[in-house]
Amino acid sequence: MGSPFLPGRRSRRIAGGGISLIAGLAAALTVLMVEIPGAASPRHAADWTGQDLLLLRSLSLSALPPPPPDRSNRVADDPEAVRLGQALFSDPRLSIDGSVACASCHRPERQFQDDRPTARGVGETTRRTMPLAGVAYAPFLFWDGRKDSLWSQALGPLENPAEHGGDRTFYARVIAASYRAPYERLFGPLPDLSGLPQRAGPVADPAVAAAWAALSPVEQDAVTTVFVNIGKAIAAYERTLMPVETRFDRAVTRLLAGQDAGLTADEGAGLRLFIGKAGCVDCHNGPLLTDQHFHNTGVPPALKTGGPSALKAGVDSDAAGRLGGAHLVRSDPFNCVSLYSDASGSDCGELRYLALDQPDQAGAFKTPSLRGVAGRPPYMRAGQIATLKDALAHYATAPAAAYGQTELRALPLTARETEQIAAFLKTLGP
Amino acid sequence: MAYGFSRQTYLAAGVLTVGLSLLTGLRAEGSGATPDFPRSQVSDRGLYAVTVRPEVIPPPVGTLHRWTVTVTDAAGRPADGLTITVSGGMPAHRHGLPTQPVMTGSTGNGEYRLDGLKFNMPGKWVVRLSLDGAGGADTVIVPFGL
Repeated sequence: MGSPFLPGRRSRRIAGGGISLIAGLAAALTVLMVEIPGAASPRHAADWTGQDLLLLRSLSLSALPPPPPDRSNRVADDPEAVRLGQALFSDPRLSIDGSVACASCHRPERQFQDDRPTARGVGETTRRTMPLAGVAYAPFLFWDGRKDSLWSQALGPLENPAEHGGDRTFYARVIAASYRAPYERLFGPLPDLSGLPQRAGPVADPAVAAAWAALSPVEQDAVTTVFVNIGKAIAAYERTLMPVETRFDRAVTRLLAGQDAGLTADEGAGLRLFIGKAGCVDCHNGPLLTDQHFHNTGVPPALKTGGPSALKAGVDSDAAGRLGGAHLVRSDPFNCVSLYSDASGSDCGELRYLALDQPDQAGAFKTPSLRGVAGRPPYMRAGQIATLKDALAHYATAPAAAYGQTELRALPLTARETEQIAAFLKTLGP
Repeated sequence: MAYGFSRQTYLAAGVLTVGLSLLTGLRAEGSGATPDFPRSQVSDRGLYAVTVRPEVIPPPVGTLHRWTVTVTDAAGRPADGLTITVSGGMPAHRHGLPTQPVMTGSTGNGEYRLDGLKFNMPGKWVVRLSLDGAGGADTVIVPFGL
């Protein structure tokens, strides 16, 4: 009466089979529980869902398409322009005192940035130098997006009194003296500069601005055309600056092949947080880990402000951010629909559909790419945040914004999770 | 064991049962809901029925693209001569649309072109269409996920 087993050989076999079934279920459940994501370190292909893997692929270099054409620059992909542009990029003679080249702040051996909280040209600026890998993919340039092409961006620092400190007539003379042949092969004959002043341009220096105002429209257009072409050659070179393959990219390739990612437990956990609970991928998405857009993340203004020379029209303010930048790009004399652009009207979609005067643009700044991020502190638009851990602490706390409204919400990240995200961010380097 | 199932068979059956049930569960989570587009909706006051069709389905993340909108009135006739303005954003993220889409034309027969739409991140979006014309002013709110 008390026996758990039914009498008979066949009954014993069924009972024995039942025990094996239970054992099999138990074994399967044990194996699957161990492998279920979250319960174990997510280094193995089986730890990521199909949807996760699609997302990871979208963040990797394998998902980066060729750079979009820049129809506003007719020499954008011309190898001769690339060569001229590279020479100009590193030539300090394109500055008023011969000391500042683009490469002085956009240092090629330092991810094309300068490791400083704010850049220093001939004077002090108020903004962090941005790295340039993948810059061909950016529809808007500068922290506030006030330029809509690489060539028009290059013209800003050249005439900014704190950066290169020169003017377009000065630069036309540099081309005539040192780059006549390559320039003329690309752009045709240089204008005759012999009747023009040494310096003339719509810049801060009143004497130089007065000299510019005294020129005829024909003269101004001739000089401006040379200035624009300098920008277009530099842009052709900058379009060739591409991100390099990172440990993260190699990990994604392995995961997609069904192999072990080759990440440490912390790196894998950090990646899972990055695409999950921490929400980083909301803005840091796509193969460059930026949505190329503008967000208010409540990063406070830097304590140090630039001198009067830096606060000229065309330099963004902490209060306005994208709100000001959008108006600046729309009225920029070198934008996609300007006379100096090579684009036709149907090309300039980003400008034509530009959002203006939206509340979420106040205090909003460009999402930087996170590729190489661990190698280039400090962070944010004026280098206000010293380390990656400090940056993550900022996102965890989500302080109120000084201007506008922050998009961040406080994140309950543990210290361990912060370390893990930082560990993952380090895999975004070679 | 001359007949019936062996212990090994029961063991295998057990593993297979658990494995298959978990696998189908994961696949159901991963496949997502039915596609969001094309989408037909009635406007808030019932004045119009609107069908929206992004030129790429699902809408791409990070790329400017066009939506075609077909509008009929309450009687089911094509509604021509409307002005459509576009707004929206991501309510959970407290930001609006990253661009200002614009009605760029209509081909008659109640069909309109909206250009300049862009969605810069995955997540839950809302596009709000304000329609104004002889039949009256009304709004359609189109929520969707990317």
